[in-house]
Amino acid sequence: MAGPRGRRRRLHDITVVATVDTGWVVAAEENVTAARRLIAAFAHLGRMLVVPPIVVVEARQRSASLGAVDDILAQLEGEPHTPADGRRASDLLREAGKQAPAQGILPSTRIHTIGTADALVAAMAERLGGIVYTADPQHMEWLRDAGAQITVQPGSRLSARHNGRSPSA
Amino acid sequence: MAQSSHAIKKSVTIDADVLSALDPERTANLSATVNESLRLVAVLDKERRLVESWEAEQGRPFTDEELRPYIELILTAEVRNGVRTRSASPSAKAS
Repeated sequence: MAGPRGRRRRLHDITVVATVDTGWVVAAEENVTAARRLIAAFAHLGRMLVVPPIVVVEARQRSASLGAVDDILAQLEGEPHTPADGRRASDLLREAGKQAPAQGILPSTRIHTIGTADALVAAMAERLGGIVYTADPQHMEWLRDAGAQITVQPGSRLSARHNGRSPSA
Repeated sequence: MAQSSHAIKKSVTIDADVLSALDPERTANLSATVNESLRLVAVLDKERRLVESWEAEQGRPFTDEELRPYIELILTAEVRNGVRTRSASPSAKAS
């Protein structure tokens, strides 16, 4: 049976899959206790948390400690990008650019601010059921407003500035 | 999720009631269905091993109190996603 964009049914038809963006991984690196609890909660519920390759690149570029970020990345399931993801990401960026002048922003500025990486994450999240975890929801919200079929889940419990809201280890 | 380029052939026995309960599109390519199912089991096994290693490291299991906010976060995201999906479906728009 063909699923979205002509694909056969995949694991995200069997269980819930959530995609993470770069900000989420960086926040997880800064708050390992919270990240472990979230991943433990995913395991408890039998859900999957996946990381796109572009997030691996960005998170390793941004991280001060490759060992720490690699520890986080090793805990997530990898999922490859597809050419269809690339086309979809491009369409989303173009649409987000078209919407920008209504907010007094140049299309190119909005597209540059969102970035290729987040657009690819949104495209993958859309393909895998729609849930995307992010520490900084603004880019994903712009992409959603541009038509991405995603549910943006702010990962505030991973953010160090919100750490007091959850019990510490 | 990711496809492997290396595959090996195995002979397996499947309970008839399990096989008959599958949707036709799953039995049409049983190897794909078995792969997808085992991939999910492998991911869940990996998650479980990770959690067990963290629990061994901290000398105790995660408590319900520790996991509750995160379980609520996950379920909230799923409910929101379900509502979004339903409201975006043609049947929901028609009603």
